[in-house]
Amino acid sequence: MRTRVTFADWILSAIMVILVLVTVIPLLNALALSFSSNMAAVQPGVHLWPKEFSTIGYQTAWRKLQFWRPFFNSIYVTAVGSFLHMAVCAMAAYCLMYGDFPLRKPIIWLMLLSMTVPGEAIMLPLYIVNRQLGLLNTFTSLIVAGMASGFTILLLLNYFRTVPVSLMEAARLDGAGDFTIFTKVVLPVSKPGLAAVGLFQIVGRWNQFREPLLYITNKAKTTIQIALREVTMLSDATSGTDVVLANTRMAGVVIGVSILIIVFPFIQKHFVQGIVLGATKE
Amino acid sequence: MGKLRFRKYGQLYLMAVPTIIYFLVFSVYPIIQGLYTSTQKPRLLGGGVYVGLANYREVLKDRTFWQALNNTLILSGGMIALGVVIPFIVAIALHELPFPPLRKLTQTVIYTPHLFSWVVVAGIWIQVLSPDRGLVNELVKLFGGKPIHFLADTRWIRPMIILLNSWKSTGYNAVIYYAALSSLDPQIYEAATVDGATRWQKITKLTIPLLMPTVGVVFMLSAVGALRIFDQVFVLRNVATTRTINVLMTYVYDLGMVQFRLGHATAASFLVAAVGILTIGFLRRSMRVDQTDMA
Repeated sequence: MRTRVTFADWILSAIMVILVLVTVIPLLNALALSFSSNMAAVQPGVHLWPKEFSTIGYQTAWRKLQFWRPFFNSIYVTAVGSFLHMAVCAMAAYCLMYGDFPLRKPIIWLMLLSMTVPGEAIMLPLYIVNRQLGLLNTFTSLIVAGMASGFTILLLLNYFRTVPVSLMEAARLDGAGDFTIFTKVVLPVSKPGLAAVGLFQIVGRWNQFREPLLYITNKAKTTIQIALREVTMLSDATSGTDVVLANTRMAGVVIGVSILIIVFPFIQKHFVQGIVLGATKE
Repeated sequence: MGKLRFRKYGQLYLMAVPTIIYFLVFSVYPIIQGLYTSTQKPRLLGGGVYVGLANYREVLKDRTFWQALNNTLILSGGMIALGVVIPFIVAIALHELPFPPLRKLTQTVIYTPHLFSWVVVAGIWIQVLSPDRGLVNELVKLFGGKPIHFLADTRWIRPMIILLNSWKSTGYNAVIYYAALSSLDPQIYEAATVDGATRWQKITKLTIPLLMPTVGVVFMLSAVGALRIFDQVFVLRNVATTRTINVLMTYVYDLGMVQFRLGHATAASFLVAAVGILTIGFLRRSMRVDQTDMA
């Protein structure tokens, strides 16, 4: 609309550049340190570029600190958990499309209840429930956590409602059952909604912290965020024979966001849906 | 929808079952289980005795609880204030910026930390703020200052947690505001231009008033999270700062998982949840905004 670039526009651009720098510099610092040699990592000075390029930090984190184990554990838990979450919530949302389905009201009440009571408030009762079910120190406890969510069901329901009723009716006249209509008619039309849910599930489950903190004590079953926390906390320790250098710690951080980097390009398209989905976890 | 009525629901029941079982086992049952636990006192030989509301009374008498509540209010107050105001300004700046590529870049970059876990954010910033060889303190030293223990000094830790929260969430909240701004009709602005409105007038008379309903949404989203602060404190606290930043949820965690006083801990968490739900309900009613409006 405006054709002339004014002084105010330059001020605005400067603000943008500052915002970008404030975000990027700490990330760059971590990345630069992660690729620094052991010697460079302990030298003073501002690190925004690897001083002596080396992957020793990654080797130490991956092999000596055994990050490979929590890394693959988290990939497993994230993949299975995200898929089940989508499947379970999509099926529930499909049921809610039918106004006279007898279980519609009960489902809505349960959704409202779960959205009202914050997960943190029942964190210890949930620990007790998992103990009673014998789920402590199992991946199942992490996969089952948050398997259904009122927010996801509502978001998917909004997408499902865009499917023309005539299309569903036509399928039904052709003899299709509900499950067929669900998988062959409703789901394909709702791909953008499912993609948004799936992406934010991957982010949320990869970042899952409170649940493994409570349910997992077995080292072999631990997840990436827990492993990373142990390493970054070590920096506070003044004693101890095993000093973890900055390059190893920052390599851990990079491993801790690695999956997110893969997902990120797809996330951008779903910023706005992310507002709704992100509201559940903050 | 009317035509869909005459049919059997056989397969629908099967599709509804996982969700119903999940909510019953992991939402309804824990609440009942928690209420039960909160009225029990453990016996030495296992099992428990019913003690009524004794656990609740003891929580209310516990000085650590009030300290945690105090810390929670201070930290969340700061987080809500910065979380509402800074993204508001950022979104208006984004809206005003006449260079779309720079706008897209800024939006994308500042949104990124929202996707990181608090463990990652803490990992990065413990390094950046480290008193020896940390980026910030290298600059402090460059200007002749003494290194500051940002994360171990009780005077610094609260502002630091609030600022780090802002670093992580500004982009996310800015996207909410910006989404509201970009859904506005550009014709309003064109009409204002025709009427000879200056840029500043358009911001103060159009953009800001049109953005006000979204302030309510962002405030609600931040307020909902306020009593639930856990991760950021858990990963950033240390021996020196625990008393200054311990919040309600870390108090509950310590009581339950470290001291194994599950009765006390659940009583405390239920008190917090009750206060939280009432506050949110009150705010929602008085502000007439709802998260589901956005879905």
